[in-house]
Amino acid sequence: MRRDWTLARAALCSCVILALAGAGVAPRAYADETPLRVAVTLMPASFGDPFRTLGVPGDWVWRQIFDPLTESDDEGRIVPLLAESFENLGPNTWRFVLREGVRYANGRPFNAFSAKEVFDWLISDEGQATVVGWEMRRVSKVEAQDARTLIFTTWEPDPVLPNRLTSAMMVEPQAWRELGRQGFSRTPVGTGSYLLTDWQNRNGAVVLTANPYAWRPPGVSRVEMYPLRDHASRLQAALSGQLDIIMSLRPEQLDIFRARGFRVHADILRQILAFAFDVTGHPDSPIADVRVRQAFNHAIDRKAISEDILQGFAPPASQGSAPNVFGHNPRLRPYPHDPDKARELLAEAGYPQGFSTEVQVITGTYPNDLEIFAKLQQDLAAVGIDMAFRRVLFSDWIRQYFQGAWRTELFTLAWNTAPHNDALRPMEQYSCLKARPFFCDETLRAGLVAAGREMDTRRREALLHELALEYRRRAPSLLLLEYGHMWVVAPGLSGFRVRTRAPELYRVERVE
Amino acid sequence: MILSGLAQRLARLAILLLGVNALLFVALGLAGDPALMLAGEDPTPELLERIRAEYGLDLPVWQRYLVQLGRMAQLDFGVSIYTGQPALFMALEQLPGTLLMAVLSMGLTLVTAIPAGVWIGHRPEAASRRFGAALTAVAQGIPGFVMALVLIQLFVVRLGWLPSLGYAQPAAWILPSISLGFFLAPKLCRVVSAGVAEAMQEDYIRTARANGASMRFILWREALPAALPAAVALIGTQFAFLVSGVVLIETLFLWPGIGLLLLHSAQNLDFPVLQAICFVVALLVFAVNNLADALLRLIDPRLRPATQ
Repeated sequence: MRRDWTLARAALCSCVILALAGAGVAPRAYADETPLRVAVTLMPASFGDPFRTLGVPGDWVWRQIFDPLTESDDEGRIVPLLAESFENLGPNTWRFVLREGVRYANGRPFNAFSAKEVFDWLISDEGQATVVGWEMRRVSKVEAQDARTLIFTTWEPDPVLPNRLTSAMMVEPQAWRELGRQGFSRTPVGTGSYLLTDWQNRNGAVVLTANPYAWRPPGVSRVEMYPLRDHASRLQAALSGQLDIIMSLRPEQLDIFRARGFRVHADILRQILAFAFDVTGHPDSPIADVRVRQAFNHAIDRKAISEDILQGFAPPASQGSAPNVFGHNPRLRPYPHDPDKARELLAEAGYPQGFSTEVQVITGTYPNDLEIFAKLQQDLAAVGIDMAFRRVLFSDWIRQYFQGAWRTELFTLAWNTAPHNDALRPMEQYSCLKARPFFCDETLRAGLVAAGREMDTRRREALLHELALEYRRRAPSLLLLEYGHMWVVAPGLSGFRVRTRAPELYRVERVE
Repeated sequence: MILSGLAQRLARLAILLLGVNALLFVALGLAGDPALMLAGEDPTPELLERIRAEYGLDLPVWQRYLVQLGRMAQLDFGVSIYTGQPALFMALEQLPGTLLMAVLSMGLTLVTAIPAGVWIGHRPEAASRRFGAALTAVAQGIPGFVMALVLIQLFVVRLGWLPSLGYAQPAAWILPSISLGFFLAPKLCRVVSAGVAEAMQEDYIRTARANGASMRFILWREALPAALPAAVALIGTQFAFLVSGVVLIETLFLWPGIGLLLLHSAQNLDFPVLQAICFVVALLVFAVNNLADALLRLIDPRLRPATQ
């Protein structure tokens, strides 16, 4: 089997060389072959199959190898990427005009015909079984009008189709077909700035080299991405100069790096850290009462957590979306820290002495989580809620999530608007629209459906603002903070930027 | 006789593999339905059904177990549910890293623990030896990963002498080997020193000394061999521990080995890969234990069958 992959890799390289010779393309020459060493916390479990899962950790690697038609810009707006422009022709029709002169890493041209093949697969039965394919479920047909124009027809109005396309990576359709999904996952071919050379070298790193056909040639010819899940390992490797770009360090450690000339970048696409209430699964529990859920929210001192534990990097959350997300309601403020009000609400709900409850948490997903949990426990105890934290593995958590059967009354669940950057997606998750809902309020359904179909941007924004307010009243979760990953970049590197939650490594250059 | 011995061992191996397989089957069954992991968010019942059929998860439990047994007999563990790669290949691909770490740290353990054990066992009542014995007792209580963090802090972060990622450069082999060696050597040292100290009280040692044999000769040629059987048994156990994947050390040093793959597969409930890893590790442990047995018989004639 290894031989097969080696052969496939060799075949890909030969194709590239032959095609380069044929096309007369002169790849960018790199004087310095020193690799750019990047530490991330995880690698995608499905290797180079970009349709199996959504978002990170896959995006950290996939966005170096592949490009989608659209992406989020620095303000969180959806802008064209492999597309040059897009427009809505009618409630169910979108037109995308594609960039000219783009080639895949094997030399084949990227155009509307190859893109159509990818979308045809995504909306096929097989594609629909993937997470990214499922995002395309409203698309009924994709047509290539000419080499540059793609027409999308949807079953029903889909105002966030361009947002959904941020996660549909343009794989090379012929390689996808010939290698099969599994073979392709080992030797992926895209239009990205880099070409995958090795999924795991003897240092445990994923190795990427410059794609000779890249429409955005990278500034550094070789990248090594290290999956360092252990925080101490990341920190020690960074301090010893073994890494150039490091993600997810603790906020209190950032000054050490700043003193050494490192620069700190924060993700602009933030998710909202929160604990969801499993109201559906615990109808007789105190959390079934909205006043109790509001009491939880009033009991927490978010400002102290934000400033004292996270050094101000994660502002208190006011709703289920961050300010740069479409649909965020700027009029809403975080719940004030008001223990008296919390006690009052508990008393009104019939729990003047408080009660005991339990929350399932996955540790290690964001910095200083244990300190945050301790502070939450302390704040809740002050109003009479005795909350125990139960650690679970991600595999256990995701199993309960998919089954919709939670063992505890609360569980950790972020309001995640990435990669679509639209407030509706997490709201749908906290609703009767989810297959096995943990929170289901029928009065919200009509608003959610309307927001999901409204094509007029202003009216849609107003609908989302209204929904944000309604969600705030119903308190389906204990809202905590707005959080985005932090990246630390070594001195001597310029151009680093994070977009759609992934670093744009092609922009990085070594400077004197 | 040789053939019957071999047959016995093969029968034991078969029982071991069956046992491991059955345990794993039950444990993984309790861990949950992998179809739910594969189907993603809000799967339709049809999609779940399709995935279960694809991976044979729709069969009755006994049938699934028999199918799995049949496949194991053909060394077919299926493909990883995430990567689609053959599970056994994924496990074998990680083996060189694990074996390299095992050999290096075992080598370091042997070259430090045996001389130290002989030195302490020679005159255990002497103050310096008692101090040495106390040190080994303390060292035995320090887990390998704690030592690893200290060593990285000192030699990688402070002094910048050594790398701490992977094993591409030989310099990167040093710290993981020391971390594991530091954990394993004290126990071996204590076993060797106890054996040597006991041997030093024996009549044949006294006779050798009376006959003018040098202390070096007495320690290395007479006392140490007496301590070896217990030491070899321990070395076998320690080596088996090393080849079964040292998850924490591999994680800290980003050392691509079986431990890292095991962690990753367990977190993702990648059942085929977990089964392949357990199969490979069970085989390795069996091989190492048998090698240790053979070595024991070689150095201790009392353990050989009477007819030999």
